[in-house]
Amino acid sequence: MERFTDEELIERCQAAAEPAASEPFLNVLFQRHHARVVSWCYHITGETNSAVDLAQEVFIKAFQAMRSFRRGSKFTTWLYSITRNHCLDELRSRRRQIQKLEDFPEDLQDGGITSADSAIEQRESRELMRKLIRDSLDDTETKVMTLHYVHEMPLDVVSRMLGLPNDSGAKAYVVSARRKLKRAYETWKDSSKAAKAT
Amino acid sequence: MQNGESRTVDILRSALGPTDECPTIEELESLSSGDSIATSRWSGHVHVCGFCQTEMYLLQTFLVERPREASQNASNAAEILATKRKEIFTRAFPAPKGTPWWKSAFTVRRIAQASVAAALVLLLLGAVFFFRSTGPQPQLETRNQNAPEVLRSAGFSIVSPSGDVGERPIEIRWEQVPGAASYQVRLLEVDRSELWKASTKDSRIELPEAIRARIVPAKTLFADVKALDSSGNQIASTELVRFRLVQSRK
Repeated sequence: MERFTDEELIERCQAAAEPAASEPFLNVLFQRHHARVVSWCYHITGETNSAVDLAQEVFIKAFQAMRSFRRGSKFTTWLYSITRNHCLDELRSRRRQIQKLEDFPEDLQDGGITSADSAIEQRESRELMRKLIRDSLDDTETKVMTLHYVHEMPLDVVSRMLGLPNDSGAKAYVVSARRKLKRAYETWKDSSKAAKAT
Repeated sequence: MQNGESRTVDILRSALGPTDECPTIEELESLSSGDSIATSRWSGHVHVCGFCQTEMYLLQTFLVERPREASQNASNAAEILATKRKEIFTRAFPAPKGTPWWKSAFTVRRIAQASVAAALVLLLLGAVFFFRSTGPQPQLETRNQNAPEVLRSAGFSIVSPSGDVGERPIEIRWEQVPGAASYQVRLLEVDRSELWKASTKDSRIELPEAIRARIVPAKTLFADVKALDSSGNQIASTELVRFRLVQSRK
């Protein structure tokens, strides 16, 4: 059994007439991958028991969806997708609010970039913001901002996920990133004014 | 109108989020594993896309064999999870809920099982009857070979009187019994109290006049006879015979 690849084991699961017949193959898959799943869940929860609960739910979903696994895919990627989506759903269901902007001393609201109302202005603002992010932020700041604003991860989860030294690490990165973005926007605004003047 | 706070979050989310050009997770995995096609197609985009770099980081965090900071707590969680393997399987594939007995009793499967069981029982009964009927007959043995032979009483009949009779009977007659040395005759009232009793060696006996006088119209009487051997043992008897004198026209 151990000599089979993950994908070969899944093929045998899919060929099993009933769940009981697939149990030996699922056991091997579980044995191979349970540590990585629960470790990833631990980054999300930061607590042992809830990480175990989350990982259990991930494996239940994966076992139940085993027949939908497509030939040619890689099992670890498929399992990661289930783990990631389930954990992010769990975070959203907790409805933990993103850190209020008032907590950050220098707010992008003051910069004017967020005052666009029309769709065109908003698209232009988005493209401008992308450029500023790309030009101004380092890798860690970009990851922190993405996890926090796109995936709606609380800052303590972001800190654990990125292995930042302490719980306030992510917040410090967000503050730093927003300052950089504000400065970059002001620089861009000045230069565009100068360009118009000439 | 959105306020400045939520608008800022929206702009950041939109700017940091995925674009149409971003590869899927599977494609990112191919890229991270060094697949040449994926590299040529996606490496340029991923290099400048913060979202894709973050996704790649998350994927690699998952794929790495020994998770970074495989902390003691994460290791403990893995150990706990390992003990729940059976529970996970059971929850993933719960057994179907039990159906009421009266529903399950009439499923095709149950009926087939019951039919097979009934057929087996019938076969067994048939075999038992077959072997009992063809096997050696049981032999009766007297318990004590020195004891006298005991014969069960046989039956014989009273010839007359019987039923409704038109005249007061003079005698009682009965069938002769082979081996009988004497006969004991009785007349009984309807309450089975004995009216008269006598013995004779013949197969008939005359009724005394005093007894005949007690045979009155419409009165039902019974008679019975016992055949006795020479030792006085009963060897046969009649049933109780009812007779009644009906009103004489004379």
